[in-house]
Amino acid sequence: MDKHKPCTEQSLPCIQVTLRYSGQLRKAFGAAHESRQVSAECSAQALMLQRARECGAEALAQVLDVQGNPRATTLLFINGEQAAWDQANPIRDGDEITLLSPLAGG
Amino acid sequence: MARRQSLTSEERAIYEWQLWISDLGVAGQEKLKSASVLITRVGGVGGQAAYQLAAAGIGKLILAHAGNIKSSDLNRQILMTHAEIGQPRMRSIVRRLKDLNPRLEIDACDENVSETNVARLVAGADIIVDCAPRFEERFLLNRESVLQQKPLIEAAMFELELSLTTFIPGQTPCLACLYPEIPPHWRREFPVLGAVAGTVGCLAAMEVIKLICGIGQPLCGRMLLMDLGDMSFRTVTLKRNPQCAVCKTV
Repeated sequence: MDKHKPCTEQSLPCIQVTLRYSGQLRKAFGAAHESRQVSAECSAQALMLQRARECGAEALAQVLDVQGNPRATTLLFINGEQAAWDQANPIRDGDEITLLSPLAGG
Repeated sequence: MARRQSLTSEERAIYEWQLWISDLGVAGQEKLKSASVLITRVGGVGGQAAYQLAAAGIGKLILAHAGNIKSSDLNRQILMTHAEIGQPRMRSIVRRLKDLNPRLEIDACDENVSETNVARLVAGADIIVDCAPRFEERFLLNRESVLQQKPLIEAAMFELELSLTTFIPGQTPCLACLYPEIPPHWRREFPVLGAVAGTVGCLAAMEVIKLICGIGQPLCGRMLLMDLGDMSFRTVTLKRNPQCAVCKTV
């Protein structure tokens, strides 16, 4: 993930994206959704990892495993299409990025 | 699916209003009557799915659910009753379903899905509805659905959210494509409201009806995400994992 450029709001040019969190991620990230201004050059993965670091240990544990790799069980979607953690996922102005943690029944 | 069974005059009267539905008709109703559906477990989600399928005229339900009724079941498990707290869940489930539809054939298993019973349970079904609260059970059902080439409907919930998708072996992702390992943060007991469980149970029953009758567009390769807190409904597209340990050769 280090190859991706940081997604600071101060970076220019900036784009506006919506981040959505489902399931247990909502509590960890402290919101169901949020709007962020980010660098146009950042990827979906880098953005979500940065937000996880900003939100604290619980969010980070949901997104990264103990080796520091993205968790395969946390799903990433860009505009409703599932995206792979290990592929380049550039984002554009207006994109909606969703993180989904697994749900079960009962 | 078993050989198509024709409707009796009593069944034509009971299902009269749904026989009027475009694309369903007598042919669709006969398909429902001839179908067998495995539901596991039969609690908040599975109980509602079973109840709706019994009402719709499904021919046979194979049901798996262990244990006795607890007071904490009663906020969502609509096939349980207060009077039967401490009594076997399956006894209440069968009685409630038979009260609604005495023609319904039920194969009741008072165990949860396990390595020892999953092959037998799946073998008797045309379609599986997975409502298990533990991913260990879900993975067993997923593996067996792929092995036996049976559609698997995945119904799930958490707090005010629900998710629903339909896996068709060889055509769509399977559960292991999405989650290659047991999700480490999921807990057996979790916050949920009965109306959320019931909503996803109804939607799972709709997926079953659509698959059996060949109507509408089931959620194959798509996942419905609903937030009943703000009433937002979204559908996302899922991808197969070409390296999936369960379905890559299917």
